[in-house]
Order: sequence, then C-alpha cells, then structure tokens
Amino acid sequence: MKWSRFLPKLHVYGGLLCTGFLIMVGFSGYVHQHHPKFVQHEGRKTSWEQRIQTPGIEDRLLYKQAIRDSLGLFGHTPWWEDYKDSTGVSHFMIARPGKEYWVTEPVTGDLFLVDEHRTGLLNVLNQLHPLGAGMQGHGNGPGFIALWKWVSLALGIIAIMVLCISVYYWFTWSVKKKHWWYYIIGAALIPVTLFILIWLVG
Amino acid sequence: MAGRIDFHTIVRKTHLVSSMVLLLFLLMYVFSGVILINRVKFQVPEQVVEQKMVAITEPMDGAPDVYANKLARELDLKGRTVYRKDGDENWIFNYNFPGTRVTVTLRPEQDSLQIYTVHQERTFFTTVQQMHVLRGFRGGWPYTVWAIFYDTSCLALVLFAVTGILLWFRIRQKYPYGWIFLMLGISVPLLFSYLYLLWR
Repeated sequence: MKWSRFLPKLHVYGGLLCTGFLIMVGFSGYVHQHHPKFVQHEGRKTSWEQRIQTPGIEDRLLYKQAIRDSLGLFGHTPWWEDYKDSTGVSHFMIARPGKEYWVTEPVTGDLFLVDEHRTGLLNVLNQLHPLGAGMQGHGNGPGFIALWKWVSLALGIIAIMVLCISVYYWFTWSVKKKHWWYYIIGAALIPVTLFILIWLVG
Repeated sequence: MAGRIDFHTIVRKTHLVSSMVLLLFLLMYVFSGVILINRVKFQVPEQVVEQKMVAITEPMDGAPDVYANKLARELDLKGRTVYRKDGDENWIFNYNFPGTRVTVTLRPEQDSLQIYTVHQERTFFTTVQQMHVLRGFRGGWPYTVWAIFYDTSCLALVLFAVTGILLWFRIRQKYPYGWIFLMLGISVPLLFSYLYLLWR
C-alpha cells in the first residue's frame, strides 16, 4: 500500500479507534483539575468486620498497605484520607476504581471494621487514566488491570500518531501564509516557556 | 445548503486547531507520564520527609496572605502558596514547588511552627514528574496560565475526538470500516470500566 493511501486510513481508522480513549483522558484531566462532586457519587454501602493480625510496622504507609493486603483488598491508600476521630480511633481509606473502603482500626485487639462504598461508572472512567500505569504497588489485582495497561499504551501511541498526521495535514494543506508559522511557533512556545519558568523559578 | 457548509468548516477548523493545541501539550504529558510510570528506570529520586519545630518570631496578626509571604521570606520558601484554617483552628500554609512540598502549621496558641517538608532532589525528571500531577489555579500567574492551558487541552481532547467522528461521518462511504473502529474505540474503555464495576 502506498504511503499516500495508508496515511489517511491510519488517520481516520486510528482516530476512530482512539475516540473513547481521548474523551476518557480529557474527562479525567478535567476531574483532576476541578474535583467535581458528581464523580464522587457514593453508591451502595456494605460493612463487615475482619480479624487480622495488626502489623508491627512504624511507617504509616507501609502499615496501611500491610493491612490492605491482610484484608485481601486492592487499591491505593491516599495520605489525605487518614485521620483520628475525637475518640482517638484511626480511620483510613483504601481506594480503587469502583470501590472505596474506609478501614477503622481497633483501639485494642485485631478486629478491623471495613465500610465498603461502591462508586459509579464515571468514577471508574476517571480512574482508567492513572490505571494506564498499572497501579504499581497497590496490591494484587485481576489480570485485566495489566491488560488495560497495554491497551492504553497502544491507544496512546495511536493517538499521538493520529495527532501528528493531523498536524502534518494542517501544515501541508492549510498553513499557506508565512505569518501563520509565527503564530504557531509562538503558541507552541508558551507551555514550554511556562514549564521552564516553573522548573527554574518556582 | 450554505448552513451545512458553514457547519462543516467550523467542524474542520475546530478539528485542526484542537490537534495543534493538543500536540505539544499532550506530548509533554506523554513524556512526563512515561517518566512517572518508570520512576525507577529514570532514577527519579525518592521523596525524603523532614519534620521540625521552630520558634515563632512574630505571631500572625492580620491577613493570612501577608503572613504566608512573611513565612516564605523568613524560611526561604517558594512556589505555589496555598493556605487554609483547619477544624482545630490551626493555620496551614502549603508551599509547593516541583520537587518540594512544605507544610507549615501554625497552632492557635501561636507559640511555634511545625514544618513538614517532603523533598525530592530537584532534577529535570523530578520537575517533569511533578508537573504531570500539578493541578489547580492558585499559586501565582504561571500556575494559573498553566491551569488554563491544561483545561484547554482537556477540552481540545474531547473536541478533537467528537469533530473527528463528524468529519468521518461525512465521508463514511470512503471509509466503510469506520463503524467497527468507532464501536471498538468507544466500547473498549467502557468494557474495562464495567469489569472494574463487576470486580468484587
């Protein structure tokens, strides 16, 4: 197949294949920036008690991860969702797409209380973006987590190729006037300049 | 008829402009994302946590932003500055600079300052990694402009995808397998989301 015939096909079919992925990344970017309430929707709640051995670990993060593994759960333990209530009882969260668990530590003994909250589809869609990294160090999950890592990598590479072709078409077909080049280079330099400014100045 | 042509022109131009907006910003995010995922390979330094108490030189007597600036000068802090009052009446001042996060807590007694520093040796890769997760508008004009660019890119991602579908739809007879790719493209993220919802 000739290059001139292959390129449009890759652009159109590759672009259509990436549609859902691009919308998902755009959506999760918006959520990361604005933290809208509708994504934090709390669904059904179930609770249970589970007896596990309290790990003798001083480091708080490792301690929480050890409890997570002993409870047979998967997810990350956000440092900001960890507090002691007015009675001195510690609570912390384990979060993964689709579910959030609040773990209540026993003051004495080894009986942990777990409150499980189900989250909705939008919450999961939002978290597919960081899951492209495979959720390293967040416990042993099922195989589709690793599969999504490779699928998202492939979709990301195709998306970049589609974007490059799009810009190539723009340059070859649409940018006729010389001053447009200056506008484009100027616009492209803004984020790079900002990055350097934040890197060096703060 | 003219209306249809105008609509197509708008869609086409939106597609082109959004691709341009995306290319550089998205490439930067892809680059920083790769570094974020492969921290060990890129030898991104680990975070070091320090905690100390220092005596207070002057109590807070006025607006918190003035005090935040004073602390920044005295303690040699810089970067995005955010402050709040927590439920225990403590004033919390955060100074975020790529690679360094300093939290200064001023207790209601105003007798001392608790300084909590999470520091990563500042390298190019550290900065890149931190920029990937940077969010919010506060902290000075460079951060606000960055946040506006960030939001523009998010919008451009969605616009690029939607206008792409509209452009393909117009020439769908030339690309007859488009339906299959479109259905696959939409269903794959939904399928994985559904798997997470089903996962007990």
